[in-house]
Amino acid sequence: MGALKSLKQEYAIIDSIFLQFCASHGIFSVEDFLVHDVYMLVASTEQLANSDRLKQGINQILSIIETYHQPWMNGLVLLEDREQNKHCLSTGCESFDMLLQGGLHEGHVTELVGPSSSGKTQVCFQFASNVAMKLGGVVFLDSGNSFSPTRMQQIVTHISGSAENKINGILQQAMRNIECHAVFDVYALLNVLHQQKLKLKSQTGYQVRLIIVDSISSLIAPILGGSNAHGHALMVSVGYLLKELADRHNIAVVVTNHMVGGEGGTLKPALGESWKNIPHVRLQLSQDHARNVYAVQILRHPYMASGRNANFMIP
Amino acid sequence: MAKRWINGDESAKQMLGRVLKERPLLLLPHPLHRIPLVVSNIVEIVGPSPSAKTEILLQVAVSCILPKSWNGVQYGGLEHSVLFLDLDCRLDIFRLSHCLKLRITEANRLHKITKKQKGFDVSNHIPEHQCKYDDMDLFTECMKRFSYTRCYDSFEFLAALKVLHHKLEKERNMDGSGVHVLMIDNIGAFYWINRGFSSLPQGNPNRKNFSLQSVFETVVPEIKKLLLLHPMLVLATKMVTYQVKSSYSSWVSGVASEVNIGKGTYREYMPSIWQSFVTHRILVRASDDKRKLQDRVCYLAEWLLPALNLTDEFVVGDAGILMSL
Repeated sequence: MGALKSLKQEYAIIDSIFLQFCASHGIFSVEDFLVHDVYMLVASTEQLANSDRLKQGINQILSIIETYHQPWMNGLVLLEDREQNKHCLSTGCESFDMLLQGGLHEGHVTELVGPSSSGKTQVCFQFASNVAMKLGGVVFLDSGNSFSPTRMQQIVTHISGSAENKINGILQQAMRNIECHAVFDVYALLNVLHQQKLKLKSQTGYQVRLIIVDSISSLIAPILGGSNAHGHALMVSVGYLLKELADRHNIAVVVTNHMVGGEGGTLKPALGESWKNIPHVRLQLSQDHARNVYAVQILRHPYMASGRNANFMIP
Repeated sequence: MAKRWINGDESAKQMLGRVLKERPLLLLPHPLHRIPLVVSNIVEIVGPSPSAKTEILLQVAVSCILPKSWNGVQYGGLEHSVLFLDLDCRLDIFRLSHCLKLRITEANRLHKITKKQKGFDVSNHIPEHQCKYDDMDLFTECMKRFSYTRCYDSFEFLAALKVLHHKLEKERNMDGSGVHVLMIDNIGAFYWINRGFSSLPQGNPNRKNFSLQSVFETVVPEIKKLLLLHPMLVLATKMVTYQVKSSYSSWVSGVASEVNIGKGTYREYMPSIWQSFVTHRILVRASDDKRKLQDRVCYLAEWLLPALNLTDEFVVGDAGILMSL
């Protein structure tokens, strides 16, 4: 939103007298207006000379505020939007797709939780390759230098099943669809995400289907704790930004998280209680070293019971 | 003259009739069934994550948007509109539509069975596709009663509340007055953001900062003003971090912590203006001993305000919430 001064040019009714009136109440921006009682403001204009003009100014601001929040939609419109715009992205792994009833859902933030070497990064590579080959753009935010083009090449070759000599074209196309950014702290992450937001708003041809943040916990865990609340505030801001990107631009977001010790020696996902409320879908990965098979279990899902699980292999 | 003052305005029976018409009792589905609620009650559903709080709101929403009866079939709904303010930005409409469809099908099925029992002729005079159209019409009618918006920060939340009055006025002029149910999913969603960023300097001493305190000092009066003009029941969920007081020795010895059910504590972080605004409070949480009934997690519900010393147990099934007896 912003300062009231910037509205002066667009709306004639917001003139310097109105700005002075607002300043006397400590209102300098539209946000300030939100924490004041409108009726009290209107009542306070009564004693002043040009109360009608001031009231019109207040009404103008209220109509600006009306456009500020997301519009109200009824259930039918929501359902239609979901059916038409928010598709499932196939993950390339059949058992994953069956578990999630189609794959990664656009509009959802999916969290992959698991102890070390439970396959989280490999699964992310699998998702990225499949989506880049068949469906559209992928943005990979890498916090631990784990992105490996050689490994992606292996996966793409495996998925396409083509012969050696025909692979180049497909591989080039897939790699061109992946945008990889190295982010080493939460501010860099916020920066990249804001840039993506701007690009998606302004460029019509730019289409991203999947955003992967590997791993979000290594960016956020170091700033949590301590006596102030900034760390948690940044964590929640990142969460909301991801949810907004997912919902407004019909993107599937995948983030990975590690595990820490909990009560009685069991492991629990890192980032604490406040993070639990942020992802739509939480999946726990584990590896059975003896059989070289990975397992994924649903911890939380908007419409499926938790506890459902499946096994899969990583080629 | 004096006699007129002594003769009452209306009898108790007349008063009860009038009050029940203007402020009807709302009997909500499980687990909110123990206390009859009235419009202008503010109910807070408190619990750690995950504890089926949003699921409870969705089941109440389904019961509200269904009509009492339609085409002769009893659906048992309240026929109220629902306004859902999603501060968690996490609702998936599929769950609501799925439960609604299941409820409609179930009610139709029961209707057929009772007709058969009463000896009516059940051979379908109405062709199959007509039934489907009727069901779709009903489904559409119900879904239209559910209004949804999401708020990505407290500014959007405040903006939505400030202009809600105009939206409701417009609707009232079109459809006539109806009761609404306002649902807020996770009233504590912006706690950390407001806390973390409220200490930023504002420059001018007159300016209000955006701490949780000042945001709620505006939210509560806005809701009160809305309630004066539009009768509404307000249901808000609140996420809390729930700490069960369990002694170290009990986990070391592996004894089930049956002594701690209901005796855990949770930290209240909402400002006092909100706490005193709430008229009813219910606590839900996953059952302590992590029992599973038919492979589904059990949850416990306990009314804290008014304090009933009863704990109800429930599971979340495909069609909705089922109480385990």
